[in-house]
Amino acid sequence: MIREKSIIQGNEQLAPGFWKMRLVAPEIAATVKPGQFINVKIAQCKAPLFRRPFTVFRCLDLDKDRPGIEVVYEVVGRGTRMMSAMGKGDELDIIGPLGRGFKRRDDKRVHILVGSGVGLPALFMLGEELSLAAGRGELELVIMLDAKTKERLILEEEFGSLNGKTLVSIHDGAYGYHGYVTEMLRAYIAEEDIAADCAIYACGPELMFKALVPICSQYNIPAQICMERNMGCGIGACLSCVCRVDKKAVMKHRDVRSSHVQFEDAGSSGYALVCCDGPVFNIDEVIFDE
Amino acid sequence: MNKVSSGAAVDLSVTLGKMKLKNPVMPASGTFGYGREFADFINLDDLGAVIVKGTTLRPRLGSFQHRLLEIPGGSLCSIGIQNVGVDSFIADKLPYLRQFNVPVIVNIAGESVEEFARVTEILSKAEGVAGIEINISCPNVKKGGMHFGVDPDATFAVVRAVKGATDLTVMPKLTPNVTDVTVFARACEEAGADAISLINGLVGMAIDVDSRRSKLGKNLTGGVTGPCLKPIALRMVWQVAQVVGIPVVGVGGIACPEDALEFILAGASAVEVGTYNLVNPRVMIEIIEGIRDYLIKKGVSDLAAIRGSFES
Repeated sequence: MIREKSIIQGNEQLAPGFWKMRLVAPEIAATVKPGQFINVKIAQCKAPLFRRPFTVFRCLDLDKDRPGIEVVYEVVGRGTRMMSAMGKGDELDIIGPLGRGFKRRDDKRVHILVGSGVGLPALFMLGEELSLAAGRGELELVIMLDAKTKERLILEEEFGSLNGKTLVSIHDGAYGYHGYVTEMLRAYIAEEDIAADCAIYACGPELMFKALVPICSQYNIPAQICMERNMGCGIGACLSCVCRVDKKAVMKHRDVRSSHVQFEDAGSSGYALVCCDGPVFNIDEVIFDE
Repeated sequence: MNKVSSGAAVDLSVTLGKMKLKNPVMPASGTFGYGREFADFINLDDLGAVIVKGTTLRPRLGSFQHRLLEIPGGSLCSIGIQNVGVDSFIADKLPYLRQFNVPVIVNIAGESVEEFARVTEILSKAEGVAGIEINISCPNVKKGGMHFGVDPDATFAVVRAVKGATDLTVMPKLTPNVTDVTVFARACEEAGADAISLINGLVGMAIDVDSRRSKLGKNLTGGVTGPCLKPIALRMVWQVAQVVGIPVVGVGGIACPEDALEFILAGASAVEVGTYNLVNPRVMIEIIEGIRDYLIKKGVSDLAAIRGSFES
């Protein structure tokens, strides 16, 4: 874990309510992996108090070859509103890279990114990696972008520049597929007959994950999902960001001894920490309704 | 990693029971994990003591999910003393802490007087534990928890039982959820406590007006913590410091050197820093340095000289 005083290089609005911030963060940029996040103290004040977690959208070389990172965020409260008012030269106190990110399923041929709203940026670094492999003909990349309305659709151009097929679903039918991304996904898997040889990586609201569950179990498709919780510390100390997990699935997917997962006595479930054991989980590990 | 500068001739040391602390700053239980979580940011040797996560006889899974909500200047949270249990603490967490030259205080909780005593006995046999902080003030546990902290007879019984089970320094942590905190402080002193820490969280709640449910999910209520708690904590520490002869450790919303100094001027021998560790992992080091700078600026060579010097 690294703490950096990071200078803002740019902060631009992408769509109503959505912003992209570019930060000088050489040490974090050097080690961050797809799906990992940074924890940001927006200003040295007591309100807002806690750091705010943001997954890293991408790494890039800033001017003079200085490594930097970008985060894409939605203005939802006081903290993100303050962030949107900041500009070039302002300073942020950031800690990162944090958490356990996506793990590429190299045993599968078709890799499907499923993102909705402000969940989309968490998938981009992975998309870049998969795009490189797709360019070498090692795999196929399918990108599904979802938003409530066309105005709220972000990063279409960025994802569209990757070596993959990009599909868009808009809930009100104003553009692309008319409906939810999970319905589009179900139809796509059936039409293309790829169920046996694909993997899903998803980030979006919990309702979207819940809609993914029956699709993944019906076709036996492995899926990784990037979860969200209110966090206190982001480093595994305060135990605030727990997520209910299934014991059998957790035992199958990870080494529990080196995790923060704690199970009920003689029970079939327990709690994992989203900040350290996640934010990325295998979909069968998570119990959505406690 | 910056060491706390060894300023000229300022004595920051504090004695709590049998423990000699090199300075008066330590983490509040539950905001510092088991110390290791902060190793990338600070050297544990620089702290006055380390207080680890609340520990119970058996492992505890704690509260339901959706445990934390930010409120203006603080948090509303319910962790429910999720912890690995005393045996796993000794086997898996304590060995790491033994490499440091810093007293380790274990915060303990239980559902009965006997359980408090049993956990204490087990910890007293483990190498590397210097003190016991008795958590009779957790606002988020149904059985035990705060129950022992809101009835002076129960407070007395727990402290007496823990004292009877150990030679280590014993420090009960009091709850603010009572009418007169000094009654409980006196009960602790009479029962033989070596020091008293206060306060734990104030019970609070928050409702989502759209879903009409608690913003803390099934937990319904939580403890108010953080800077917004400080005025209440300071008042209670001041009240308690006037009526007991044992050292008082101030806890509640401390986020900077001035906050810590306020508690010391009100009569605290030492302070615990809680919520703000989660925001700034180096805040305790900054507080130690700030206290030292303050003493130098005031031309005082010993922290004890300013303790309780608040003029009322």
